[in-house]
Amino acid sequence: MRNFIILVITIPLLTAFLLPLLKIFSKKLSNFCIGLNLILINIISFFLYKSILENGNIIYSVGASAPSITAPSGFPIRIILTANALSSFLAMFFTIIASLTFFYSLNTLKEYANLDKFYILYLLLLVGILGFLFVGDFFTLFVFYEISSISTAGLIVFLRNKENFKSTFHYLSIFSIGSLFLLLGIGLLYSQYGFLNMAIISQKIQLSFLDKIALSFIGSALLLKVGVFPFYFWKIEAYKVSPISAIILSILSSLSAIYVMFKIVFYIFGLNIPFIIALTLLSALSILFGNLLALAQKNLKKIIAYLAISELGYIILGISSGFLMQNSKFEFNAIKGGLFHIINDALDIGTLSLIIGVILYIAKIKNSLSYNSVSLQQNEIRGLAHKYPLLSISFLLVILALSGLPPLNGFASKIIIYESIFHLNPALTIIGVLGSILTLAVLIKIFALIFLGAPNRDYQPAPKIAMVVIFIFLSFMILIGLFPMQFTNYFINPSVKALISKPGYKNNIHLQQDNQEQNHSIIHLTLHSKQRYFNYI
Amino acid sequence: MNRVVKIISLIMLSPIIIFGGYIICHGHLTPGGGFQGGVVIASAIALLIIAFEDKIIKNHLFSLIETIGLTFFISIAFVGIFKNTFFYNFLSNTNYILGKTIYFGANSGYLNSGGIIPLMNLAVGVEVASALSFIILSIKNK
Repeated sequence: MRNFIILVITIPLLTAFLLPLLKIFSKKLSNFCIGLNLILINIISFFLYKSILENGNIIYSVGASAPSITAPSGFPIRIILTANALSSFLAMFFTIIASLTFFYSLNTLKEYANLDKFYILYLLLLVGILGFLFVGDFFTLFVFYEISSISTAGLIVFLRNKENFKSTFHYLSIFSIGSLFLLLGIGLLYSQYGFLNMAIISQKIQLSFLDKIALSFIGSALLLKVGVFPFYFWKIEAYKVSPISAIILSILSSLSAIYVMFKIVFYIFGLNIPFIIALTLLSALSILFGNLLALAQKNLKKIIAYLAISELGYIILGISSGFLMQNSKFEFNAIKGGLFHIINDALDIGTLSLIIGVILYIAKIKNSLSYNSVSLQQNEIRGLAHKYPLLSISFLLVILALSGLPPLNGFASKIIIYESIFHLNPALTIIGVLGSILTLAVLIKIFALIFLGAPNRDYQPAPKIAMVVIFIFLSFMILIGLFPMQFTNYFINPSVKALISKPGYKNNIHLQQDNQEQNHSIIHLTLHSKQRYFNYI
Repeated sequence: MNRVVKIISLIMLSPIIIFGGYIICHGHLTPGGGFQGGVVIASAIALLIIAFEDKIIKNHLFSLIETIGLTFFISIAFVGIFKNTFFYNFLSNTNYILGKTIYFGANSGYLNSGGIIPLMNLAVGVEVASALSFIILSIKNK
């Protein structure tokens, strides 16, 4: 039971390493193993969430039976993972989406070569996402940041066109700077306090000027991973050329980076108000800019990227304005809206990109390079509603959900955000509603150009498993939209409480401090033995 | 390459590989370890690749060895789960293989100690050596 938290991270890692060996025997065996692995981590993360709701938070130290048993000098220098209700719920939800996306890509990507390498990188990116959720010390945070950045670069280059190499170079050069920023921030904290453990640093931190510099470095590196307004350029370049399943996993990694960012800002830096005000402004700007720039685009994958940026803006707007209204009755609701929108964003943007992937598949537009020459205005794809009624109905439902119209899930979370941020500043609500209207305009334009009109050429039959995956996503969306109260009561409210209350490893820190006093004698002994060693020489 | 380079590289091959193996085996006692020793071994293979330009060595052989090293590394970590936790050092202080109990104070270094750390070093060494050779080979074949 205790080991579930590490199994969620390491089972995909083991499978990723085993895949080249399995490929020798047969291709079907390796695909079967990936599917089995994803279903297994779904089950494990479900039981992890259940046990956290029953028994409270989990602190797991890698290599020792308890976190208080540390290195001989008493410092908590082990890799420490922590899980609360929010992170385990997100892990459960993200693994469900990642496994559904895997079954989707089995159906739509099968014509490409080197698929085994694609799935290795897919699993490694999943490891990075899940690791971000459970991370408990800064060094492990850096490692998972690197894992997810590098595996995303591999996924972007997968189609191996000229544009892919260009985008990957762009991505890698941005993220090498980003990871250096993160390392610099971590180094500033480590040089002051001598610890990497988040819980210990949160106790010892003095919020000096140097700490604020460290916060700005770490925060900007994580905002780069999230990809909100001033940091979004890599996202457009990357989404333009990568396969649909890579886009969905990249969205999930942005969402987990949001969680890590708020965890660091809230737990360690004790709510740095200027940083949170900056976050609120940036998120409002990314809602506006994402939607306005999406209106001007012709490439479908670029439109996904811009809409994803604006939806991330809603999430950050909800959570950060909730933190700004601390100790008022709207704090809980605003954060609830933001966290609820994490789920809805992943479902809505995920379904939109799945449908666009099916459109590209049935129009025989194989790789992204040839698609760049196909613009919406040239009417290359037209009249899909005649032959694919189910696809067009699901696209209509996605339009309703993304622009926040009542019977679907987008409405349920956006209305909470609007109502609660109105008490912070009515202008923010106006920006939010305006963003939703612009989203509606973007999607209606796509619907009119692609689905309506007379069909102009022959299209392939729609891939069956992919359609089933889209229907599963849609059924989640409709269920959440019809029963939002029940969903928030069961899943979101425990998560909000977990984010607002300080994490449960506070008790544990006391244990570690007791241990330090005990181990003081050991430090003394080591010094003594060093003396003896020098005498011996 | 001409005959002098070929013969000198063949002569130097075994000392370099032995030195790399030494660094890997003494990873838990001295500075160095799996990564450094693996790089030294990969430099020997790079020497072979440059001296003998024929495509004797296949790419996928290296990637297979690399995979075996990685799988060995993570499966040792998984064995720890059955004993206690992930990465638990289940071999140390057992007075059996790699498990000599080290008493407090100065010593000259016992090779038969460290538990799973020497095994991890070995796995990392195999992985790094084959991965770097793979990179060098693919640069040369381009």
